[in-house]
Amino acid sequence: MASTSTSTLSRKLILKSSDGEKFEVDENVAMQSQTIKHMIEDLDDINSPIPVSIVTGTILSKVIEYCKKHATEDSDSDEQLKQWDKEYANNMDLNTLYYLLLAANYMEIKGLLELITQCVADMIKGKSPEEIRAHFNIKNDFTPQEEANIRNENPWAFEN
Amino acid sequence: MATKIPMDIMLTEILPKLPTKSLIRFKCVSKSFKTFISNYKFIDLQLRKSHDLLIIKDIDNDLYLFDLDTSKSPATKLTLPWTSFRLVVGSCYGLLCLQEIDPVFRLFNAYLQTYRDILYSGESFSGKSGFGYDHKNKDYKIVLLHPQHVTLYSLKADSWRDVVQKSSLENIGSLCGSNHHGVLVNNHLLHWLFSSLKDNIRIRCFNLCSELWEEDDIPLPEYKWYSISTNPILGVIDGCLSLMVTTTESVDMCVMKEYRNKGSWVKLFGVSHSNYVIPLSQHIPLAHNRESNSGILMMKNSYSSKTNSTTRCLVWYNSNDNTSKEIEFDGITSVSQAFMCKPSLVIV
Repeated sequence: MASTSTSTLSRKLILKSSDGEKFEVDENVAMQSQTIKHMIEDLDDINSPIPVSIVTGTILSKVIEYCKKHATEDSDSDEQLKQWDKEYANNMDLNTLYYLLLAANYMEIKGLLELITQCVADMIKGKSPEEIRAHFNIKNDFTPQEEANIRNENPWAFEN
Repeated sequence: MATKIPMDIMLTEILPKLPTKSLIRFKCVSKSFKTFISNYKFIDLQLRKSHDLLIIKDIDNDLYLFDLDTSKSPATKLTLPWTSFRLVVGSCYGLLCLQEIDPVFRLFNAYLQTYRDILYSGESFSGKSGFGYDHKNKDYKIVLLHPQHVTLYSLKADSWRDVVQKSSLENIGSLCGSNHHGVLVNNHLLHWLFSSLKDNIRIRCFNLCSELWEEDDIPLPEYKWYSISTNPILGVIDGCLSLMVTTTESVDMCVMKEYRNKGSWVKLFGVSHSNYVIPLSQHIPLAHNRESNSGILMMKNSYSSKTNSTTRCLVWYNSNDNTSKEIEFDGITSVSQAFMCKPSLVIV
């Protein structure tokens, strides 16, 4: 078993971003993405770059940073990892966060998707319906009467 | 984040992470938001992950909501949409079942403050009742025990009907003490303590999914005291059935760690009579103290020499060092019942 795991660890993959930037990563790092895992299974030559078509180099480097941290099993405790996640997410501006969310969704990296969506949820939980619409570009398709009816069901939920 | 988050990520990944209050508010963002938040699957998901709030009924029949996680915040007095009620039959899956005088029942979402009155005009009943959730049919049910049969209310059907039972209540035995309301485990298994002719106690279970008394008794712990005189009280601690008995030396609390496994009964603690604590209620999960991890929420009688009266308060009982720490609630003089209830989006 030991020899297999060593050889798995030493295998390198090349990921290629939408803007052509190339990243060499350990296979176990890249394999945290279900999408890449499936791509490798279909791949004849693992030395050729794997295209991550909708993700830019800037975002892909952030994704890899996350995957690297979560690929090393032994070093950190759960608590330390949580702290790292928190700082990682806090250091992102909104735009980066948004593209990371799309990347995590496309690359199917469950942990990263959880982290970012939780971050978004924390940001929006205190907001008003109007702010949500403006934030996410959502059209209000209620009539004023319909909206008033919903508000009147639980007026307390609209107070802060 | 001014750009568009794909709607499927918004709905399936982000909304489930929001607190109940935000969700109620976000129902009026758009029609797709409302449809998604009102869907029973989402309500179900929300219920599974939301943490319990404590609901207290005081001696003046007022209800208070309290979050044990943020114990610094005050208890919120609920403005009830009716004048009075008698008692709480049970709490299950986001709804409370209240019993009125007539007897009329009332299903109440304490968080949304919506309720539905349920009239009962069948034969008179003794108050032996239970409330729970049939997860197979996704239906809330109230059960009334009669000597020969049971009467069941289904929220889905919004009607009562009699269900004939193989074993009549008379054959099972007589209900112990003041133990009128079924003790709920797993949302659908209601338990009552009976005493049989030989002065032995037995625990019987009514299954809300099959709508039948289960054939076998729930095994009792190996103990010397199977007697009604030991004042046994059935309860639930952290999802496990519990039994409290009073012996001459102490008051012992046992829990059945694994359901229906006789060998899994363990004695959780024994307290001296002077430090008498009683289970919070006979039919709700007791909460563990998240701070110390060893506390169990219990009720305690406290005597005040100033007013020369006994009031009931809630305490975190620590079984390791036999101490109890009172939880103070502003405005509540004496607790009469207390329940755990999840904030839910269930509309009644």
